[in-house]
Amino acid sequence: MNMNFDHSNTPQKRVAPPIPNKPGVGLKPTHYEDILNKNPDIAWFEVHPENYMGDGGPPHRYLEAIRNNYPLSLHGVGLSIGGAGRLNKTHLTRLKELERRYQPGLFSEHLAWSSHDEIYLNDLLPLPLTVETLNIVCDHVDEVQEFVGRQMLLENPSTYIRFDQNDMDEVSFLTEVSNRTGCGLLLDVNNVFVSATNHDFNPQDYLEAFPLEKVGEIHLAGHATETDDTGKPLLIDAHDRKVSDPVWKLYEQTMARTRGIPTLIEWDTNIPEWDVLYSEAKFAQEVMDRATAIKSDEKHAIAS
Amino acid sequence: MPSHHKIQSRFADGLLNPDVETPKNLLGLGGEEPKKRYNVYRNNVTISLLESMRATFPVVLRLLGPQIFDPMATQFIREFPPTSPVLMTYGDGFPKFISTYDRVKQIPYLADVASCELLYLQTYHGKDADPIAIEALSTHAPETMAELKFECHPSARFFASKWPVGSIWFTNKFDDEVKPLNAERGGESVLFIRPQMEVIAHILAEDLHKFLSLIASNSSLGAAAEKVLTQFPEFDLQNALGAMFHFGLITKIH
Repeated sequence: MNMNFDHSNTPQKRVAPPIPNKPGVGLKPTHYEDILNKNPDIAWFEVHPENYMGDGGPPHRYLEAIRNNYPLSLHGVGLSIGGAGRLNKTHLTRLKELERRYQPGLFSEHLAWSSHDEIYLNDLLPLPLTVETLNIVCDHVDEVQEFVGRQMLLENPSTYIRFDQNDMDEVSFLTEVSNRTGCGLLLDVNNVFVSATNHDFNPQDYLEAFPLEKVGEIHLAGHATETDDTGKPLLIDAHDRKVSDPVWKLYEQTMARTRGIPTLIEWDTNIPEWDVLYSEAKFAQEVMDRATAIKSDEKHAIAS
Repeated sequence: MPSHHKIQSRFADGLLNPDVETPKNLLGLGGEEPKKRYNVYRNNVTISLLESMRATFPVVLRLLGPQIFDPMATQFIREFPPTSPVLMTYGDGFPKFISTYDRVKQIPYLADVASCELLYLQTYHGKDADPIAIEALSTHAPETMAELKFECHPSARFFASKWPVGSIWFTNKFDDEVKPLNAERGGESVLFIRPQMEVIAHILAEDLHKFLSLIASNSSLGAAAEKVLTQFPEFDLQNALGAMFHFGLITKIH
């Protein structure tokens, strides 16, 4: 199955507002009241659908109220797309139901696995990048897109180990999945920086090779620093603090190659006051504006 | 080359079992055994599931303190890991596990408190519905009253214990300073219900609990009243009907 990346061509007949090429933030229950009271100038929100899979109650009421005022993105953590086993049909059905109810502008999942033999491990676990796993991931992405009836984005992971069986690098793997399934990609710049540090590669090389034309969303988050078995820095994708300076720099360099891409500030642990999260989003807007302005200036210069 | 399923099995085996060694097919930076790196995943899995248990059982956590709760919950996670990515429903088996866990056996009401926490969450995430008012009864002729059956609010959950679990649960959940309970206090029955946004816990007298549970399990008004009256001759039906609608328990009359 192949779906065009252009949302207007996907088989959805919905009134979902597209996610604008602006920063959004992860929606957290501690911020519900602030958002409803202050009606802040933020372009969109993202949630983990797994947190809204109850039958009713306050989570849905808040999400409905916020969804009425803002575009929404669903970012799943539980499908285990990179897992060897079959996708969980019950979970897919719940996702489809949420998709129908909230009509999100974007819908994404991870290049990772989180379930094994019926056990849900609640973490985004790494997979070897082989011909076998490429086929598995493509089949799973096809199944998701067909079942939910829309295009999904697949996110690059942050990892702490490498497998000795890899047949290809991560960018080639993701590009091939996108080519074969028509899925878009979600580029997590913090994940690139975390993995680059942990596996000693150049994050700029990774980003330059990344097919930006396939990227429907960008993620930014903070990371923690520990040390590995040899005493070298080991970065942990903790989502527990502000975005680090090197990640902002990589983001700016990446944005300069685009006309702007929806960009999410993720903050899932040690969640700050709303104003702190809001100011991260505003900062992302400044960086995006600065980077994309340089691009149009250059174009202008070339044209004249 | 081993299959992806095999590779995944090896990786998964140690995540919830600290006695399993680091898988052999993993590499750190210089090809050394990446024990600390693999342990990041072990930590992520265990700590995130422990956080989920802490969020589901805040009262048990408060009663025991983290020194006892955390190892107990960790052992539960290792023996009964979740099978669904929807963690709001994880922990079903915890009350039973508590009743067999040596270190807390001397706290006989603890398992029932844990059950209250699960029911509270079921009510919190339960289906929404609009309760109807008692006036709806007046549209039915008096001679048909005994035959009436009721549809109950989908968020309603009943629980009966030989311990005062409702009071223990309530003060530990909501009070900054826990209110001491009379040691003589007997068992309690609780109704958790969410007629609107908020979950409300009603501690019910024994006769009212029996009556409302019968109504909720589709007894007719007459049959339920008769059953309760044989056991509790003092039972006040008028009051019970008032309470039933006041709680928001009824969404439809058949």
